[in-house]
Amino acid sequence: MLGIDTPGIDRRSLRFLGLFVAGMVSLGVLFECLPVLFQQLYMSPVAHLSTSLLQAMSVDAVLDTGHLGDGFCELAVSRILYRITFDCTGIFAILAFTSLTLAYPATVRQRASGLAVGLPAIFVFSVLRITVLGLIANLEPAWIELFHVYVMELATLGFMLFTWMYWLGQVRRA
Amino acid sequence: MLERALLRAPLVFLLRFAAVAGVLYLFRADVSAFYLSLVTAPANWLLGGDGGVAYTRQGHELSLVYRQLGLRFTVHDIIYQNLLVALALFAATQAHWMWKLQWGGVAILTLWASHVVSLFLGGHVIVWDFLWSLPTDVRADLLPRVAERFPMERDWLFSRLFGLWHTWGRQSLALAVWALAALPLLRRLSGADTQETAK
Repeated sequence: MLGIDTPGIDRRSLRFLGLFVAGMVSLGVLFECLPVLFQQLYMSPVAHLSTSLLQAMSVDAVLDTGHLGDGFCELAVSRILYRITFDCTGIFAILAFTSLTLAYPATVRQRASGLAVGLPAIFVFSVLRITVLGLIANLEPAWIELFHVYVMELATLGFMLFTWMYWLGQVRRA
Repeated sequence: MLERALLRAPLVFLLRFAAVAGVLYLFRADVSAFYLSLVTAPANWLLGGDGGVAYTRQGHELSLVYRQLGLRFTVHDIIYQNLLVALALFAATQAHWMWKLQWGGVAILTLWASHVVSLFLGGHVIVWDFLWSLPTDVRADLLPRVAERFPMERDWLFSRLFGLWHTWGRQSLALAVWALAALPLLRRLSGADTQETAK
């Protein structure tokens, strides 16, 4: 095994990488084969909860789930229509967190507890992500591109890794 | 309940990641313009290198110019986000600067190669998608010339795979390189090395 200060790769790292890639591919295939599952269990609740939060903050937000079967919802904020796709809902973070957790050398119980804590946390973050985008759309529509493409995208990835590293700490403590 | 002691390391990572991503955003335009030139040259070479079909760049806008048919396709406003993601991940990781430099170099090289290949294959998808949107008689007329230049015909699987690569693959690649590099450090964080030795 080479030291960690050089770009060396040991067998355990390669095994982890293989499992991570296999997990991402499997979840990607599952996502492509069963889009309805992800639409009903993920996109729809994220979109509904975000809209409720926006309405609770007195934002003029109306959600149309008529196109859910086509893979998107329409959120009207202050009469401007925004299309919520899976990309907007941070589904990548859900799949990546699941793959990272399952690929990591830990017991089944530890992995299960990681998923039980991490996935709801990322779900809540995704609701906040759409809510923040809705608020930006309401307050400063010119910033929506920056927030949608860059800020919230990186924030979601950062939060996902934050959650995963917290779980790594729990594995150590156990 | 969240345990404060366990929050420290992830929080430090998150703050560093956010800070680096913020700084990188300020230089995004410059990085993008410079990086595009590093990607388009080898992609054009793969496309034939004779200038008949070539990617051209005007600022941050990238176009695929197909001179033989008098066509110009605007690709999109390139950002190469996964490159910035990878840079931010390596910069935010608490490790020796030499480790960051070496693994950061590996990440940049890997992502660069993937960008060149995806740009080359993307040219095929763009042209074939356009061809299939034309009326049958026009398409039949153009097909032999296009097939000569773009032999990999668009089909459902190719377009689908390419779409998946854009949606999941690119970010996953950046994450995979970082995870591979950082795993020994993360194993220390979780004590997995100790557990495996004890077994």
